[in-house]
Amino acid sequence: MLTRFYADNYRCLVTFEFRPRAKQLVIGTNGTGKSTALDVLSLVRDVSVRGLTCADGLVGRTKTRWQQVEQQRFELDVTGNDTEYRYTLVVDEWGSPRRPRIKLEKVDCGGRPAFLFEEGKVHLFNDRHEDKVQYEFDWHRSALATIAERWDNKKLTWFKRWLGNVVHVQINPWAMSARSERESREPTKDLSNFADWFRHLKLESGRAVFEAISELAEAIPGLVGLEAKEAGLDVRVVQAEIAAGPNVAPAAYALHDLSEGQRTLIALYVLMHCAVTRDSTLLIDEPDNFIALPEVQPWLMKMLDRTDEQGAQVILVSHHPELLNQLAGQGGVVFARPDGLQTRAMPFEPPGDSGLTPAEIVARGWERA
Amino acid sequence: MPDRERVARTIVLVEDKPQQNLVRRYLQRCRGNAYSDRQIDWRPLPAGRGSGEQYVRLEYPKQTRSCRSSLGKRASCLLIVMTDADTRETRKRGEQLSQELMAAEMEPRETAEPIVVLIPKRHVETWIQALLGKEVDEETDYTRAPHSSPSTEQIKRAANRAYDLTRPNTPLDAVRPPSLKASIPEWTKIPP
Repeated sequence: MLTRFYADNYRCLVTFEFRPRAKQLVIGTNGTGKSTALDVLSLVRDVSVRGLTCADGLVGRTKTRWQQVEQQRFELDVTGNDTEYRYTLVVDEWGSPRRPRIKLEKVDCGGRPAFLFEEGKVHLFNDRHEDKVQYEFDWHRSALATIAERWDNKKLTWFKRWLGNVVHVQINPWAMSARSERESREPTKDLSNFADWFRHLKLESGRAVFEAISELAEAIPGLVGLEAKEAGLDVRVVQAEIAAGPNVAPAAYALHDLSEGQRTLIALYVLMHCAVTRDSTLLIDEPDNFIALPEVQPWLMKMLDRTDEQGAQVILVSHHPELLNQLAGQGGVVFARPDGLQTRAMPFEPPGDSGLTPAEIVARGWERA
Repeated sequence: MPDRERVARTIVLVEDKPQQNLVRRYLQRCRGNAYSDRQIDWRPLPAGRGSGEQYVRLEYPKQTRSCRSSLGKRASCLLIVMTDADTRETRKRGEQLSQELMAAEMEPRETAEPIVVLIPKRHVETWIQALLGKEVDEETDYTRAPHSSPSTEQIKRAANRAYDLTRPNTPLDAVRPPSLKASIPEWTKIPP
């Protein structure tokens, strides 16, 4: 579970610190850095596990504009595997012409080194924290991303697996294509590869998909199945089978034939069952967009239950009154830019004498008063 | 299939998350495979520390009115209210709720009415500890150290035990603390 996130010199995040809980709601007015914080978390994941180069999203135009600081710094504190992890990534620009490079990348377990990549040199430590191997590496990309699991680096690779499994979505039902030409292990942020991901899940997580469909049958009346049907060589189409009435045979509807709300519901329930697993961290930006008001609370309550049961973590960014009313008073965090500059994460702790619900307080802007 | 559409038939008004969890697990135990979040409306949890009692007290007439309304009756609505007695007597806390109805010029709650009022003393954590088989008293504050907050699994076990206590012919002589024992008739108003 992510217990602390620190970012410095990334857009509006300057010496920014955020300590999320297992079930965390983030609120705040527009432009206060909520989505930026989630974006940078998944960016760190993409650089450090999936091999994205620094030039693909760090330094350059992403540096904070109102200050002249060269370095960007990111830290993740993670608890899991009976260990406290700290991952540090420092990026700057170097050379002529100036290009982004990784100045420092390290993983500490329980305060002791597990991995170090500094000034172009990698130090690999074993599980007893002995510095066993050193070698030079291209500093334009993460060296951690290239480390394979071995018998003597289980601590390090647990962290790498955790980071790789962080899922960040901002569901865009218009982008959710029904067509799949390949499998994908991870969903993209907008779920444009939903069909590819669903195809993978059907093979790898059949039971979880079955459970998702069972619950979806309550949210989408008449839904009896969700399949990735063959539609040519290596091509599949995700389609829902829906019965229009109790005595009517189900008909197949491709994902793009469904309404935006129905597509979003499918995404939300599949995420709940397939992306909320032991030690997982799921980030959802505005999960309540597109879905009907009566659907918000049932999904949310199930999601909170599942997060508890799986020992998972879910971080939700939302403006929706249902989410505010259920979660804001239980450790919600407000992102704000008090002086118009950097983002600050502050606990939502209004005085208890107003008699107002959290949503009413936020609607009036009184959480900032 | 209109029967699948969401119709909230149970409205739950509570002070905080532990109360919500206990009621939620109890309802799940009652309804087993038929349990559906789609039939329950969880009223907002209040903002701000220490505000739960006031929030429930002020919200109680509004939710009672909605359940007594023609819309509420059409939905066969059941209202479940939970509020801690804290350091007051359980009876006094119940009277406070009744006074809120009077102040709103509403009829008092009748015994047969589908309104369940649960008043743990001192807190719901006291009940949870008792339902887990621990010796408790109603003066100790089980929300504070050295008592740890109950886990989801413990709340589930506590709710199962509460459900067992509401089954017909269950001997209740040994049920402690008194506020829990006194609440059994209220719990039994929730359809099993």
